[in-house]
Amino acid sequence: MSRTILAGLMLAVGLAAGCAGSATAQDPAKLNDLEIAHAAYVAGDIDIRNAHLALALSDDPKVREFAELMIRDHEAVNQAALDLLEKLKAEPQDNAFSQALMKGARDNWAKMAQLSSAEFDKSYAANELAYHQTVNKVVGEAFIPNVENGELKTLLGSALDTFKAHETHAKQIVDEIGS
Amino acid sequence: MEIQQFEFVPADIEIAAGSTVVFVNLDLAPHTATGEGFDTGALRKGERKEIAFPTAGEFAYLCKFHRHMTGRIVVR
Repeated sequence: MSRTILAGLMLAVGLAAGCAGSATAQDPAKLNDLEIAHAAYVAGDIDIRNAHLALALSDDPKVREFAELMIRDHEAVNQAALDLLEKLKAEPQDNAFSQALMKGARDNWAKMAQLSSAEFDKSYAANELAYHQTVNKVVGEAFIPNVENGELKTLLGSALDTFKAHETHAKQIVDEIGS
Repeated sequence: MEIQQFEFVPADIEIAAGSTVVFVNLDLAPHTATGEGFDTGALRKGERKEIAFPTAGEFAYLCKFHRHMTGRIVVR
């Protein structure tokens, strides 16, 4: 399983847990609305790039279909986020949480690209399940309760519906091809 | 027929022959309603598609992208 991207996310979440009570940029519950928008967009963008890697390296029809789904759905969610930010005339703010996500992803892509097709399939499926489990926890328990803008809260709620469906689908893929 | 939170609402309906069903996607993710003899194609958020059912029968359908989303239209 490719653990680096998940490790990056868990590092960010773990740091937050270890700093309970102090306002660190890495605590997802302490991010402001524009930082939340940035982090949510980055999380989606990472999964789109994961999927493009899968399309480049996998021959398994189930994996490729899932990857195409990730691209289609996450692009739609991210476009909705961009549309909302444009409407609000707001710019998303980069932050340490987003940076931890992206660093983990970059390390992960480097490792994943070295795997054989069969190894990649199992790693990709397991990573997608773990990634969505973790992201859904962050979005549901940190982002949505703390975001102040009502339209962004609604958008995150709809995005979470999408990500939960992905988590269920990823679990099915893992069950089918192993981990 | 609304598509929301990854469900067709209502999933099962009964209509008279010659009726038209309007599928409207309220989700961020694109969906389809695809059954034997009909296909809305990909519907993005806010998009709708009218499908006519001129003859009686039972028409099971699903979203091609998210296959756990299913429904049934009974045409009398």
